Amino acid sequence: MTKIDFNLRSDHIEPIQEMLVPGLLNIPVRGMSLKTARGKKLEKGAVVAQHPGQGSADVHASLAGKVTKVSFAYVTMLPGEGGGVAPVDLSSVDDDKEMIRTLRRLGVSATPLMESELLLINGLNPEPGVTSAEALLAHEKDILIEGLSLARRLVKPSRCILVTSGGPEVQGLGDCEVQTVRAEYPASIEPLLIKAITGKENAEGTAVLDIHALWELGMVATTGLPVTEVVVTVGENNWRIPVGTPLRHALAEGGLECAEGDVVRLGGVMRGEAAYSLDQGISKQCRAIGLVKAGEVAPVENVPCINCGECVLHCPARLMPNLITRYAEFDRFEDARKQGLDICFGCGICATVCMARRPLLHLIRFAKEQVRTTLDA
Amino acid sequence: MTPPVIKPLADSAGALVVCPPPHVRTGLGVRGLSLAGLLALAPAAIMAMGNFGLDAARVLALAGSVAVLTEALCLRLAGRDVDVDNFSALYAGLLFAFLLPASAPWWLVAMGAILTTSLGRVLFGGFGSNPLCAPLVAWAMCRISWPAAMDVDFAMAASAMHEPLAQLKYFGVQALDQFEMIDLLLGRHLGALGAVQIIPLALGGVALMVFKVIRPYIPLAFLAGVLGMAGLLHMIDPSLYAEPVFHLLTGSVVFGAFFLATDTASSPVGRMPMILFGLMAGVMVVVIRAWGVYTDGVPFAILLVNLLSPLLDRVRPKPFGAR
Ligand code: SF4
Ligand code: SF4
Repeated sequence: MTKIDFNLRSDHIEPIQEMLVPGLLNIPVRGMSLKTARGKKLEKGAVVAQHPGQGSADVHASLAGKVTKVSFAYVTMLPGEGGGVAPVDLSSVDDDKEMIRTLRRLGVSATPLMESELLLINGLNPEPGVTSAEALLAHEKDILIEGLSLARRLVKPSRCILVTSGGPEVQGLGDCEVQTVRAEYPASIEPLLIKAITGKENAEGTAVLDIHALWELGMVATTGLPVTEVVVTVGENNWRIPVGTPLRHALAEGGLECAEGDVVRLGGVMRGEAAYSLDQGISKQCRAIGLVKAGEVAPVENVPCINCGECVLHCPARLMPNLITRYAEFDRFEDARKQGLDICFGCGICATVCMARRPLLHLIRFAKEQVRTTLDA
Repeated sequence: MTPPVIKPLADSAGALVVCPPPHVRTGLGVRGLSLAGLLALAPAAIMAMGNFGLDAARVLALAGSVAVLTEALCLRLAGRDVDVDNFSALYAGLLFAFLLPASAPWWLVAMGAILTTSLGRVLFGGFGSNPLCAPLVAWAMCRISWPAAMDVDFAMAASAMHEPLAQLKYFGVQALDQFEMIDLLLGRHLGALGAVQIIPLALGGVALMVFKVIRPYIPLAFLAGVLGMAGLLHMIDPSLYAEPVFHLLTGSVVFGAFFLATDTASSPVGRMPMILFGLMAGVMVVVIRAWGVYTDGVPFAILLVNLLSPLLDRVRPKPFGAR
């Protein structure tokens, strides 16, 4: 039987490379309010869309150019002549509330920056197939340290711990304490990380910042400019890519060739979405791009649960994914909730080990979405 | 009504394959599971043919094919996809055949195979939804409806061999001297055609555990339950109760432990529930053998604990973060 490699530690990481600028951008804006229109000329860093949610960040033009198409999901731009927006002077912002607002305007999500007793820096790669977190930790330390001092100012922790895999290239971060955990997925998931460090499952007063968030914070702190790039693992290497770069371009630059029947995965092996088009632009949340070759993974099967219990025995949240997903299948979302749907980390372990190969994670996400949009609304 | 799926940028020309995460999977799939089970049964089936001759082959073939045909027919009637190519119906049919005397008449075999899939599985919503182990449901129906034909000792009266459990029941512990350990291990005594092939069954069962097709909790707890309870009784009165090893090697204990009690749908999930389930079933086997009317006890013991599965499933650790 296939043995799964859940290892999160990258033992050899090349420096992060800059990617050739694409000839077209498709900036994802789904669910946001648009701040531009077709035909407009934008400077690099100009606001494209604002996120209505509390604590969420705005999206900006990642290159200067002209908007050629606008839909509910994407703003398409042709890069061209033009300068960039003026940097914001963060050192003049004294008030914390004002700072958070400024950061959001600059494209940094401020949700994890609540005042807390303990600040954990999650230095683990989020999941198998992603090495960008450790690559940042190994090669962009200066920026991360800038980010850290800003984070410290806002979170005001009495202790700050960097959690790492203990990999050879991953050392400390400023004057942060360092703790090493067994770097095996799902150890990188927030509640489990907190448990590993504090020993508590209900740790209040702990803020967790992952390396990507810290890097964004650091970039803003050093430049005063909006975040318009992501660091993404493409195949084996890590790249800095403008947000909105079409997949087609990123794959080609990264040396990945997509053939008939392959799946292009946006994100890690465990939770990454399958792309539906090579024209899709890369979002700010993207951490990796990879190929799943045709026939490499046994397809999901549309079969009923056979009650083998593998998912139950593996679930790190000690839930019964078999029941949750059965309720989800039959639209019984309240019952799914009673079985702990809200506790589920969405780690996907259950779906990986399902004997019958049911799409468990898919059903769980479906149920969560239904609860969010119907029951809680 | 489901809203239409709108995919901006989707051009049908260069469409990609889209599938849900995770992009790595270990599960064998239903077909893989059935095939693994069939493979594990194969040595015992071959040995049964060696011991009981063509009769065993006849029963196995008939039960297997009737079970598949019944399932296909039922699915067709219910308007569902006919998925007998996943071999799970064949597997269930063979499990039922393993419980029959080699001399079983064709109508009994066919009837049992029909009941296995129709009453045991399809009625409850198909494989995976059956609250009771399907082959055992059929076995119980047949055992009650046609006791003479199902009684191994009676049905095989022409044979020179004896059934150890019947000897124990009717003649007491003294009668057991006639059985050599090696004969018990090699299936050279009367019993259900497959269930008495102890060595190949144990090998198959262990292989299933080694290749992680089944978890060891239920089989090991089941065997421990049988040994423990039998040991206890034997300690209390060795002149009345047989040795634990005798119980282990007779009837369908080994078969039940690895192949029947582990039926996924009717057994509980979770480590503790599985262990409790196995232990209770094992103890029940010896209780039925000691005080019940039926000589073997395994089928009814498993059916009884099947009923407790939903209850046992409530023995759960607290979810993450719950107070
Ligand atoms: S995704 Fe599955 S395994 Fe992971 S926490 Fe949720 S139910 Fe458990
Ligand atoms: S692993 Fe799959 S088949 Fe097994 S109990 Fe969980 S959902 Fe059901």
